[in-house]
Amino acid sequence: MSDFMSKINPFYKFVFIIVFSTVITFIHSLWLNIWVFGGAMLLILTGVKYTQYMRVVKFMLPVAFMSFSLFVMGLFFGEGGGGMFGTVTTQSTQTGITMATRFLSFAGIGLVFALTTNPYDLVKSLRKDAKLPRKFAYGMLCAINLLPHIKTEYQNAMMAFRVRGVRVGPLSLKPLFSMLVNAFRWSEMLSLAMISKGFYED
Amino acid sequence: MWNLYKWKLKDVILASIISVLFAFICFATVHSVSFVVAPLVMPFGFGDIAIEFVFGIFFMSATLAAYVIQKPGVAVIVGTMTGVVQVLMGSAFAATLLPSAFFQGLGVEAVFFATRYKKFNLPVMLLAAVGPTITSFVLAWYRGLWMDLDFGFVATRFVIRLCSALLFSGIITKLLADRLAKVGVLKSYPLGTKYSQDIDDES
Amino acid sequence: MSLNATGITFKYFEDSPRIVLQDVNITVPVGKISVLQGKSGAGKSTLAYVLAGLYPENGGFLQSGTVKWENVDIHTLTPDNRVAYVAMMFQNPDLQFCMNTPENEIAFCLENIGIAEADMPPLIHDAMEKAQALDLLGKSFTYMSGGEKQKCALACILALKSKCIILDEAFANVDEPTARQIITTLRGLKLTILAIDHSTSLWNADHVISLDGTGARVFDLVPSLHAVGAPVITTCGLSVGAITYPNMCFEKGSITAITGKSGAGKTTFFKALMQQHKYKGSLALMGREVNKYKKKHLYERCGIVFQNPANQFLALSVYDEVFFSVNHWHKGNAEAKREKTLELLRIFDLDVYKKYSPYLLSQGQQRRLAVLTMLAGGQNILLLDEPTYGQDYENICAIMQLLLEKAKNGLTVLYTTHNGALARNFSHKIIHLEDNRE
Repeated sequence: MSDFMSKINPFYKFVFIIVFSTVITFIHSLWLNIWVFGGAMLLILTGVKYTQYMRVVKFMLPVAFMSFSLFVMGLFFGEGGGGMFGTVTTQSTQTGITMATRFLSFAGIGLVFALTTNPYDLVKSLRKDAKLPRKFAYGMLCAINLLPHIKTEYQNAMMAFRVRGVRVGPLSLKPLFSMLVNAFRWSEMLSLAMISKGFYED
Repeated sequence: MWNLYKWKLKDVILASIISVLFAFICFATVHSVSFVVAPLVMPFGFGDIAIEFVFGIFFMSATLAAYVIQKPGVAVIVGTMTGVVQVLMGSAFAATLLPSAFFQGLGVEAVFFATRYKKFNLPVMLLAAVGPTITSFVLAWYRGLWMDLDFGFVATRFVIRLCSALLFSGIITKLLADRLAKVGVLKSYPLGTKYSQDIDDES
Repeated sequence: MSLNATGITFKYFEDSPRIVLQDVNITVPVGKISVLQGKSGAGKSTLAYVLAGLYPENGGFLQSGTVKWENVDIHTLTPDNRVAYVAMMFQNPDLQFCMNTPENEIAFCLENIGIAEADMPPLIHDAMEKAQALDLLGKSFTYMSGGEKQKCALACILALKSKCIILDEAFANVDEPTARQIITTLRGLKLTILAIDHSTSLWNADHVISLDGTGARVFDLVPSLHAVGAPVITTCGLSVGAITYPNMCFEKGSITAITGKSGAGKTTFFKALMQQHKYKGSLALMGREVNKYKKKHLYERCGIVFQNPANQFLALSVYDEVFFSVNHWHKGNAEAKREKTLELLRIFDLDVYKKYSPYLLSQGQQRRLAVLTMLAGGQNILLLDEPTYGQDYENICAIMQLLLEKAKNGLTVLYTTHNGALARNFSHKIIHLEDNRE
């Protein structure tokens, strides 16, 4: 086992998956879908360290789930299908299978990328090879690294409102609003901190 | 008016944090939708449609940023950035997310471009929700082979996505941003100057 | 040789009537530790940003004045050149890094000043060693305590080889032993240091500068404490995640200070009490296990004030913010509620701001407002996470006096703090949590 996929230049990998997925957007073939998905799985299983297999499973579960629901959708509402619990024909079955595998092929390509690329290498390579301006590169990394902080603050905001006697559900706008206020303050603080470390771009 | 917005570092970070925030919300929504709601409706063939009800959330970052900054180019760049940030967060949908994000941003931008970045009232904001609905739908049409599906079914999807977009990206975004302006958080942005409230003024 | 600021007059907006800094002149001598003092709201942080060259470039309007290091005007330099002269350490350790580990962060710093990637590793190693943080090199910031993060921030500055370091209350959220350790490191490096801090005792400063004539005071107010009632919260063999707690007991009407390093589990304890974390062992509130409560009932008994006050505001004005709580918890006619709200606002000097948006207040004022909104509620237990963080002497006294008064009427108060003197004077007991994670 090796992790050769992780060693490919992330930007080229990035461009490749976008071009490749755009091309297959316009080709409708069941076999192509199966080949692409099979190839992606092969790359994943041989291309990532076996210690990452649990991650692969974690990523695959929702993908498999969505793919199955696409199949059922095609089965009922595809050409020749008879609507909800209607007559299922060979044609609509085929539509269902095509849709499900098509989704799998897109997800497979994405998975190869997600599992073998770390954000730091990608940003580094986006800067070097794609001439992405530094402020975009570091600005985005900055926000991603804030993710754990954002999570805790979001939970805190939810609780803070409940303690004050305000009802908040998962769909309430109040905690979201607090987080947006935070976002403005955080972006200001973080940018000052970066500039004070010599970050400069005209 | 027509020169592109010159991005400051703090705007980039702000847009990225908003992207992360919404990506986080979408992720939670998508997962709760696909594991709780979708199984209930999946046997009826509606499993994939569940996401349409919250689709408007995906357009919020681009619309919000464009509404706050009110300059050309903001919607496309923030839209695309939302995609890139999600890819960096390790989303498995990298291959589809990025083109989608770009086209959604473009959809928002087109509407503000048509109004020459001068009008930002509710009708324009609602139109700015219709823009990305159309672009994202066309993209999904090709990608998801929806031409092979029952027309009525696809039309229903479109209507649900449109309603979701109008609610989340049109109305809620405007409400949130207006309130942000009112509490004085947006002082240094065009939207905030309307509501400028200086703490030092004598009341 | 020194860092000189002459005739600084500064406003936030060009047309704003309020002048934040008026004709300020200060001299920071080279190779010495200077401490800058002044009341909260006197413009200390603003002055720090002006000295570091961050203002007016990134906000505000400098009406007059210059900042010079010898003959070099700091404000004419670009950030990458300026960093050779001044760098800053900020108050909130969570909001000063853009990368995930010190290693990557220092690489980012070095890249800013144009150092090639190949030359970086020895420089990074060197800086971390000087900051006595070598063991943290590849550790993620997410898992670091506030003190560890500030050590890394120092390492960044050392890598940039800045001549002068400005610290904006950088140790407000760091426990005293760790802060002393970092200060000793700083002293050994013979750098020029300007520290904004409410306490001078920590620094053993060579030079004290006062912005408005007031000096900092060690917390010396010793109140007479009342007798406490029966136990309200008791723990036995409690552990949350990897943190184990000693057996604790909090009585009705008591004030307890919880101290210990950041990361020792102070906030985690509060969160377990609020059902935000699962726990093992026993944690009983009024004789009943906390996890047996319905959240709604728990929150009616237990109030909490977080470090980030912006999370709990929901109104468009300071008045409405407090009125919401008063209205929610108290009976009576509208006039009485109005009076009650104004009375509360007056205690913390917030009545002049009653029409303004809570978010426009300073961080210290926001925290006071958050305490008020909780005290206006009817909960009989109040948890406060660092209520005095970033407050000056007068306001610490005001907050603590109000808590004391409420405690006399039966409110059980638990607060976390890094201020040793405060904890000793203003509590029935101190619980010191050791960092005993595996």
